[in-house]
Amino acid sequence: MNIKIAARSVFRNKRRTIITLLSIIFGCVAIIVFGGFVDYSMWGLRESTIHSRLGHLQVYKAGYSEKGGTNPLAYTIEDYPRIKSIIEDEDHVDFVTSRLEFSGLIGGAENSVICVGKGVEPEKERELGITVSIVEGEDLSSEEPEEGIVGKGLAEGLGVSIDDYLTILTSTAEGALNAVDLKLRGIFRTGVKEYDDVAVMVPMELAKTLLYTENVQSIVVVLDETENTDLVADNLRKEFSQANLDLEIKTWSDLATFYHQVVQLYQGIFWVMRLIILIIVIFSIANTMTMSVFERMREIGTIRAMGTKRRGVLSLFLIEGLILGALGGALGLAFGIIAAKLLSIKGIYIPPPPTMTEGYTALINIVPKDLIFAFSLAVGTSLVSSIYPAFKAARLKVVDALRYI
Amino acid sequence: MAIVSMQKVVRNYYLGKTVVNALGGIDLEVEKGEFICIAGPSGSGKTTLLNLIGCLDRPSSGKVFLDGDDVERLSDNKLSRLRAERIGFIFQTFNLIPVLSAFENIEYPLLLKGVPRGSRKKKVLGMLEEVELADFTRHRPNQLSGGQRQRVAIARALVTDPEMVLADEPTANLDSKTGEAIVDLMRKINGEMKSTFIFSTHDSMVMKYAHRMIRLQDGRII
Repeated sequence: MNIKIAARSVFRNKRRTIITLLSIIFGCVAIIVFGGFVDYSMWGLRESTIHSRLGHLQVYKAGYSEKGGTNPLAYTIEDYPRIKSIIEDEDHVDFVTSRLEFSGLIGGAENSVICVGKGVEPEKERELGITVSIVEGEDLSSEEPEEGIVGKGLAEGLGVSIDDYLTILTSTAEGALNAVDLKLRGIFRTGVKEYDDVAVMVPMELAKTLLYTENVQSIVVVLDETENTDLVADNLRKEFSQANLDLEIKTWSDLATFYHQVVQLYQGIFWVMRLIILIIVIFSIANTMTMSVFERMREIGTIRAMGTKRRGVLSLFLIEGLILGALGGALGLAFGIIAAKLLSIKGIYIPPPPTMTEGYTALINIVPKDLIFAFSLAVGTSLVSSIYPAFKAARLKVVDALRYI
Repeated sequence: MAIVSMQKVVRNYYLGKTVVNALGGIDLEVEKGEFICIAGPSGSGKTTLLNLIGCLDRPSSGKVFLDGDDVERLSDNKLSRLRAERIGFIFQTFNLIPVLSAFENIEYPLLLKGVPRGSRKKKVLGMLEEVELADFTRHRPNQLSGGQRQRVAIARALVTDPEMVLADEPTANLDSKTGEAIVDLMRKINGEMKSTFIFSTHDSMVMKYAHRMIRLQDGRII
């Protein structure tokens, strides 16, 4: 009977109930939409980090990540073809490519600047890179081993254009100075301005000639799904130690410091938002329930006179809060999912984030975790904010409640 | 033994710093099956007296015994149980629960008493029959007239077969004809069920039905 009275009382004052439900629904929708947006953005950032630079796994010679920073050429991998075939035999591996990095000076007709260069397998790198976009000219090709591409900022700094000749000067693995010429085939943009200002990419063969080596520096492994990263990394570690290969493996997550920082920042913001929503919902429901107690003073007095115990009155109002919360939560989920789907039809244009030069169109993912959170928040806060009014109702003196006008 | 026994009962209220002496030393004995009218002008203490008999309030001093039990010694939960099992209330403003139908309103005290579903239904329908509202089972209070509402309230007060029914000005919100009909109904039930009835009124038309009159003035029996 308490449930019957509570359920019907929820709708006795329709307008107030609707306003309360709206605030719960608003809270749920905000959590679902913002959570979905963050999830999509983080997914996008993760995938673009993986596909533009890191791959899912990177294999180096043991010790590279600790000591290779100062002398990268002392930590190169020999016998790349054999290692490549071991990796390719593993499940979930999409493809494997190698890189050889260098730094030095790059000069055009007018001046020279510092550059950070990368020798790559052009076709493989293209398969990997979804965010290296060529803005002028053409992308690298292994058929034109003496043509390279540079970042937009670097091309502007050097004042060069397509088909101009550039010279790269660096020191080889043995420490001797060496220089090669290359023809500018294209200008690219990664979205990371600092990188675009110094970046050079050349075909692997040219890098090997420049550095006077047959070795590679890192092997980049791309998998079918990001979720398989740890599994494949573990398997490869076993394979390498069985084959007596002195190699180390880093996952994208080990390497993506920026990604982790951004995730933390967004999650911090998300928590602040959740807290604000929580407070709004608590006040809104506490207000509704307190009003309801005042309105029903005489009813409370009557049922107490008839012999309802204090805890009966308490549970009556708690059930009412629970019904409001559950109803608001359920509607909130429905509206949240609809809002997420509607917003995803066109997407939301996001201007370039710090250090990026390009914006993107965000979609709203529907995240089960956020759905559960939103619903629990609705029910939990409704219950919590009903406690005070319910206690107030239960503690009323029967004669006062009956006399209340 | 008297069903109600009051000894030197005083009830004071505090309005800010002033003390209002609502009842100033009441001695009263009520026997089983009586049909008693408490009469007096407004402010004479009728409601306070009924509240004390109905265990809704506690005296400032003096003793109230129900069936020989000292009410003062009972906890809030025990008093609730006593009210649910032994006392029926009828209010001036009917005080039906607006979201419940006539049937459900009458059923409510049976639920508190823990009466099983089958006999609950039988009893409620019997009571609706008794107060001539068998056709209004599903009606909500706002779909009933004042007289019908008070009849539902009477049915609700009587459905648990209480030893005592307390009615605070049950006819004050009704026209005189309906009021008389209501008192007539109470009287009839009093005769049939042998429940003790104590009601307050300041309507002389209603007073004539009483077995015994208790006149109150300024918190004292005169």
